[in-house]
Amino acid sequence: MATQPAKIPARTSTAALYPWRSMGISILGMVVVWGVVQWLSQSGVLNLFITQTLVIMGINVILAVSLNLITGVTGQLVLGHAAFMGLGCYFAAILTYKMGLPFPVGLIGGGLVAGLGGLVIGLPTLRLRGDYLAIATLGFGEILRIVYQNWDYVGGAVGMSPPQLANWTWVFWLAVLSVLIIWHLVDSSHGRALQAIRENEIAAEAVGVATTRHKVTAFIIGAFFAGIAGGLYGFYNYAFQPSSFDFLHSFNILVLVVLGGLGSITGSIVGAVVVTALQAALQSYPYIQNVIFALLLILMMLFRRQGLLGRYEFHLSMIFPGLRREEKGGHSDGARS
Amino acid sequence: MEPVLELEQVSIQFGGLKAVSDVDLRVESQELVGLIGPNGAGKTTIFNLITGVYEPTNGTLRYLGAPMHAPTHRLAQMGIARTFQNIRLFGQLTVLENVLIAMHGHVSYGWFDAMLRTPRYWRTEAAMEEEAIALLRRFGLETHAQDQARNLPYGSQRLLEIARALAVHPKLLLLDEPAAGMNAQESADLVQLIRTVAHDFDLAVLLIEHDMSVVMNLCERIYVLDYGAVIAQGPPEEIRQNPKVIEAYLGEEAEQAIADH
Amino acid sequence: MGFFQMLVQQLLNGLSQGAIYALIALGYTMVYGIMRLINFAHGDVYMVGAFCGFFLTADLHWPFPAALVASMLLTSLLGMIIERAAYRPLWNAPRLTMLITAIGVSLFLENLFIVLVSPDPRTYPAGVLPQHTFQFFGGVRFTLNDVLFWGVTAVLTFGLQFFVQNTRSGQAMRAVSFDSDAASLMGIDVGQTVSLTFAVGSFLAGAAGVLIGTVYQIDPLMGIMPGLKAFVAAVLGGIGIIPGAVVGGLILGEVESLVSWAGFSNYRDAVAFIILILILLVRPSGLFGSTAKEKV
Repeated sequence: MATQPAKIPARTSTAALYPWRSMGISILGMVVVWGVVQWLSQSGVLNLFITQTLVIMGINVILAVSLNLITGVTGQLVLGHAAFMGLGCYFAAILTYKMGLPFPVGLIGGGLVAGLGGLVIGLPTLRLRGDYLAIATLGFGEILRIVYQNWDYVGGAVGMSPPQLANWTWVFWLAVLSVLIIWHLVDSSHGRALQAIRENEIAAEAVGVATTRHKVTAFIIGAFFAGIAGGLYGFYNYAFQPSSFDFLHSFNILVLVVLGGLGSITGSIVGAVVVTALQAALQSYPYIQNVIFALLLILMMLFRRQGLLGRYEFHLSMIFPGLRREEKGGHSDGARS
Repeated sequence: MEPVLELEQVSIQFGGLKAVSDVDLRVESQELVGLIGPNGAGKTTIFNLITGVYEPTNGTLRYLGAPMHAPTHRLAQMGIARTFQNIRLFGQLTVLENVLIAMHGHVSYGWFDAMLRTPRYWRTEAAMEEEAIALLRRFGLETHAQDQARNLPYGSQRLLEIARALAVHPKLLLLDEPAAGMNAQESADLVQLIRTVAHDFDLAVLLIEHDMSVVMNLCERIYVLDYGAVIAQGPPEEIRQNPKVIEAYLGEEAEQAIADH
Repeated sequence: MGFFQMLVQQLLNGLSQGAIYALIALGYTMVYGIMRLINFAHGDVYMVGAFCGFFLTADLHWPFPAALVASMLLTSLLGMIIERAAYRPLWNAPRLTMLITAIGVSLFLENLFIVLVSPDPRTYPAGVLPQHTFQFFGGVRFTLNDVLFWGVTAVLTFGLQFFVQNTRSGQAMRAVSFDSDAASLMGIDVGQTVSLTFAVGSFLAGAAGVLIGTVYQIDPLMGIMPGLKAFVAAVLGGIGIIPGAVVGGLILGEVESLVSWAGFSNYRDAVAFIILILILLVRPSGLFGSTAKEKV
């Protein structure tokens, strides 16, 4: 079996030569993006509205990428992602604002509670078939919302008004970190196992993938990052209510993922950026904007089911060929059963 | 030496229907065993029992001498691999990924290694990929390594199912109609391939097949199943001549098929 | 009023709410039975029905019975259009795709109506129905409206059961729901049957919308909660089973009413979802369903 490989376009080579150069340039690029925005908004060139939009973009990127891990990569339709976000937001606020712990502790604590929520919700429901899972997660989200509404300690229906502790720097770097971690995860044996569950659960089980455990783990990780996004949301916006985390918000997150392309991490980033920008541009016409997004969602399903990017991953090497890393499966039309 | 697989008086009932009744079956180590019978005789149900998809209503299954009580994926990790009659590949993933996924049960790095890309991640990935490519080369699929599995021609998809099953590191390989849809030449090549693979990987094989030439050429022993019960078993020559098999169940077509070989 | 009278009062209130859930749940269960689709837009069809009734009675001054029937016909047309335009092109697509489309249609209808008629709540014109309150059993009350709810629901449910059991179209529906490939081989026009299913389901939802409008305020988002709850009712009764949907709807209405009475009215909306999760965990096939295992 030690014959010379004829043509192996694969990772053996890249594994040996971990792309330090590519990583260096990526980090440099991100520092530049962060710094430019930071500088422009500090110096007042970017007005508050644009800065706000960029922050929301970052939060939406975390939400979209984390939902994509569950729905796009693992194939489990979840209609309660905003509920995980809500758990993170509420518990970050409780830990920081009510109990006086430092903000980073509250943020991570909120993420962990959301992850725990993912475990509690995922264990029983992930045995259910696709559409039942969707409706069960929606139900859990609504139950949580009603609990917050009746919980005076966290402000009941009025919600809470924590101080603004999150800012562009926090959101940007946490978004980068979330994307990187989830990307790495998808591109690993565990990530392949998750995709196998999406493709054919029975075959995945037959080749030794512990399907339930993997689904629950994907759920926990997705919920954790949604919780982080929730904490950032609450501590950037000054205020949040139970209704901030209802199932309409869950639908909105799903729209980001679907428009970007189920299963494509870069697609989710593009989806989050494009939709947030459009929402900001149309914010004087909130209702018409919603009609447009609903129509877009329907048309996307009818005519370009794979989303903007499909499962295709966009990489810097497409602009700078010197950064070549690895080629993935290529185009796909997103059809599966 | 104890048999790799042993079924003792195994039955399963769905509602009022007894799909498999009182089946005794053994597969010795390195043995190639055939399982034949008309459609609906319960062959695939036996595979589902062996792989833990179904629980038997009665009887015991033993694997390497120990009773089997584990979920499907555990049994796979313990060395029971299978292919499917209706091909079940991971269609949108690449050929290489299909094989890599089957090695996941033995993967030595954890979720955090993956998220943080530790050295262990890189080492393991490289080793897995090398093994997967070697396996694909054996089946002549290495040039398709980066193609989507569903774009492979039908015959190659069947081969990939076998390659994927081998990536599980099995001791027992269950093949569900591997020659279905293949022409005579392809079937003959398949027989040769299964024989060498079984020898090289030290496998016991249990094979469901309708193509009599494949079964008769490959198998050392054959079980004949009808209405969920074993009606005959023995080496191919015996089965070929067993009047009970020919008359009561295989019918004239099969007689013809057997006579042809 | 004594405890017993109050209990009867609560049960009567629950019966009226349950009748509405039942009417909506029927459409969910029929569509799911035939296409395995949770038609998220169904609650919004109910909302459209309520608005049709509003405009016919308030602006065109139609008499109530005419407005009711006309609204039901309009919503069944809407149901058929939704099926044709949004779902039929996706028959061969993965189920996830159609489910997301259904969410899209739901959001579209809600926001379109917000743009068209404004998000403000409205009330049906006073006197659209004669008002009368009956009293019996030492103070237990119900209104003419309640009688109308029960009567319309009973007539439509039994009518539907007759239609499905005894007409050719109804048999075609049952056949497609059982096995659409086999039905199509036997010469049943599957497309037409699906279309008819949406028409009938939306017809019933339209009735529910107009009925509720005679009692409560209506607005473009009014369909969301009853829609979700009616789906829960359908799952509770066993999805795809027509009598199950009615029983599920009535049970849900009664339980909500009793929970409110017990002092947990703030948690009223959570009841349906708790029931949903319990039923999915304990008996996913519902009260009247039978279990089936996926074929390997």
